[in-house]
Amino acid sequence: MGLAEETSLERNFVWQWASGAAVPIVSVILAVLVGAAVVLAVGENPLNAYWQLLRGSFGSWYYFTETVIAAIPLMLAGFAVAFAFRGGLFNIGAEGQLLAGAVASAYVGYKFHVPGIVLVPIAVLAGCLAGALWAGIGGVLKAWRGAHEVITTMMLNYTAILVTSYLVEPGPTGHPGPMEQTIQIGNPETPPMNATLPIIVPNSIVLNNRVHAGLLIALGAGVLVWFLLWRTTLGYKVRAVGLNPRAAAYAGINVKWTVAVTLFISGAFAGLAGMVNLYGLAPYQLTNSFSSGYGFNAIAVALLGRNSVVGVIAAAILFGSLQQGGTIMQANAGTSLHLVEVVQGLIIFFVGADAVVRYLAARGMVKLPGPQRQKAAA
Amino acid sequence: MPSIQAVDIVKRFGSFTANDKVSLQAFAGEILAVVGENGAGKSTLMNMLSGLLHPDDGEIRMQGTPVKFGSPRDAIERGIGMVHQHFMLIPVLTVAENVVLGHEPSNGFFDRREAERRVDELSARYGLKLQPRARVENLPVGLQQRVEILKVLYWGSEILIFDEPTAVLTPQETRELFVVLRELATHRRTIIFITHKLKEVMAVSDKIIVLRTGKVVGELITSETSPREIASLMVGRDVLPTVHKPPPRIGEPIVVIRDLHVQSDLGVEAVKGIDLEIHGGEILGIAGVEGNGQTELVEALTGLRPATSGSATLKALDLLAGNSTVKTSAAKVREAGVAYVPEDRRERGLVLPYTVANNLILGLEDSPKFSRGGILNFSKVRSWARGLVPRYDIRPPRTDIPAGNLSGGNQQKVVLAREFSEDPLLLIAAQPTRGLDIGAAQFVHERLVEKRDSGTAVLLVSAELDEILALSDRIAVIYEGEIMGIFDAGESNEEQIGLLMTGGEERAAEQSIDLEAPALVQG
Repeated sequence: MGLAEETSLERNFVWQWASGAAVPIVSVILAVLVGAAVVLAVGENPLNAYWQLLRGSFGSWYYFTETVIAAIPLMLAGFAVAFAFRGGLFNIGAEGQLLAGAVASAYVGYKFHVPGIVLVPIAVLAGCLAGALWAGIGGVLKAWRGAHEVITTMMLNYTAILVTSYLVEPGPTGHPGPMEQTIQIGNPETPPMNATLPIIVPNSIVLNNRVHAGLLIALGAGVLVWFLLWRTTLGYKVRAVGLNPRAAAYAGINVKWTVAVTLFISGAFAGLAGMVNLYGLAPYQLTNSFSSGYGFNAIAVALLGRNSVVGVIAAAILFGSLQQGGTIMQANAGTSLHLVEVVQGLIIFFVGADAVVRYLAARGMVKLPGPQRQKAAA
Repeated sequence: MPSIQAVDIVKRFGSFTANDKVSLQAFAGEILAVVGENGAGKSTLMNMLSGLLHPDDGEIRMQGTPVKFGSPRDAIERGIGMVHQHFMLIPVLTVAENVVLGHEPSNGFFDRREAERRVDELSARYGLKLQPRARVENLPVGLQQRVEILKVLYWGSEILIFDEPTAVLTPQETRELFVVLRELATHRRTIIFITHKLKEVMAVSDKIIVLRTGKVVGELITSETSPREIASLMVGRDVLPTVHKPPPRIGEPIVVIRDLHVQSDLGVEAVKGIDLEIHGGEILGIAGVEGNGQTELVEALTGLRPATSGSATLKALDLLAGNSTVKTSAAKVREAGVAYVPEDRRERGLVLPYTVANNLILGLEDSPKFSRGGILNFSKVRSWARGLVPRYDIRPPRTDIPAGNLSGGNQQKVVLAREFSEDPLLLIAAQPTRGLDIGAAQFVHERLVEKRDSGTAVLLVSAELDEILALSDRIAVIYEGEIMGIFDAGESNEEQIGLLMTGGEERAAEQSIDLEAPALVQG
């Protein structure tokens, strides 16, 4: 019966997104409405604020490219969280894995004096491996010691944040940190790294755009995630363990090993997010504020994207647009950038509270696609 | 006048009618048994009587007056108490604290002494012997259930509903519960007792209501009926079809188990030195009340649970995990030719959100039949599934729908199809027909016999003695982790096995349920 039947309900990610999109979309709309009430409450004009937000993120080709740039690390870290979710694991430590990936790839970038064509792949591997190992600690502890991955990966976030600080900040005596690029800050004479990711959109199309090859890496990673989950025996095991670890064990799947590997792979994508942002964006330097919470927002992105590849990409662009448009909104409408955080928080709230949406659906106030409706009615 | 009455109650869930004009009445001082197969609508009916659900049509009357319950609390206030199958107790609190919870006696603070006094009084009145100061978590299940009953009595309930109360009890505890139920009835309480175990119905009830697919199909007086009549009403046709079984051609011993010891999850020795041989071409039935070490035995044999000592070999291969030399795993045991139909298909047999096709390769995904270099070949998976689905009569005959959408019987067929497909040397089937309708159960039985006849060694574990007797060539009776005796199918009878299942001779005196006897004192 050909490919049409093969892409059965369970495996077809397009279908998954279509059927699963109702709840996230309604959640976003609700978040925007409640956010408007907040703006109104502080005596400002919500229509203007949102108009500026929209204009600042999609209003011109340049703004749009900035939105995409902001979305790249969110996509990669979002894949990390989503992959772990598929395996039944809550990887709350994407932030730490992202930093681990950034540190490792930064080290490669400073120490290896080889042409970019060689250096960048090495940096990609280093970033992935560091993120994977960082998450793998949590995976091994979970699999063989029963330590809950939420606790371990979260604690490893703090460890990674502080280790990064130690590496890049001058000590109390003003002595430079062990990663020497701190010296480079403010010194445009010395290139901070021996290679960077190229800009992929020609200047003639969007003037001064900064869209780097990290976009291609992120999209490639998306294809890889999809392929791993839905086409390989590994992904089959990961999902089986995520859905019913007991049945998986009874059938002979090595659940412990699968759990550890799931977090390992998950961490690789988060580590890659760190590498990509370091190599893709000026000033190409690892600083203390290197990640502005990408790893945490990635959790929201994965939730909003319902752990599907297409969903994560869409959610990452939404969050990227909030981040990018927020700056413009602050400048033009005078509404504080914190509104963006309010809206982000509300989105997470409403995604989490999708019971509310299902309730509305059950009352016929919102229409959900077939399977959702049955669930809501039950 | 009946103390509680349901009149033409209708309850629908979407297009599914769970209760279709169900009526029942129960009088003070009588025990009414509500029986029916899983899904017959028993629980729905009871949930309406106890205020958890509201009928779409019809009414509930108490002492002839129509009543409406907004919530379980309403029902409790009107004197209807439900003893749930899963206890609603707080383990770290004492018996007295649990009983009075929500209605604590007070002298400004919580009056513990008064609470204990009242609990003592209640337990003396109804013969429910309990230590008010004992912590609930330290009590055996049978006594925990007594705490539940006391709680309901403390609320002043006149009508007590028991939802499959014996499911969690040992035979001994079951007998004691029945004494308690009788005692409550003599105190003019109304007892409604939900079950699907016919022997219990016969032993304890006065009247019986039989439900089938949401309708009342029979109202019987216990003393005037027989288990056979009840059973045929429950299933709608004659039960216990005989399995066509040619004489066995018993071959070489395939599995040899010697002095096997296994611990339970709680660290208690659950299997205490079992010796068994299972031959090719025979079905060895393990008869026993659940919780006597069957689960641990099977999990040890399938590499899922480490054994503490002893040996189990399949041909020459060591089956036991954690046994020094060879590191056995569930996967290796499977590779060696052991297939396993686990006792709980939903929890252990299937990944319900996975499609039928995906479930049919669970554990086989790395086989070269389905993947190469770690990449699944879906056209091979599909053609494999399309071959099995008609062979095992899986309905609807589709490979691309989630297994969770199938009925219980068809889910079990998916498990069988997968486990039987690899031509195992040893096939372990644990409770293979639990919750299945007669048709599906018979199908499973036929397939098991078919496997036996092709030379496979079959280990059948079942709590249903009828199933063991119908299928086994040899029967081993397990009790508290030990094999009490092994019989050839011809030379055993139900009484003898039933006796051994509950511990043998020394328990014989207690075997019959003697309702005239005074309440047993729990140690």
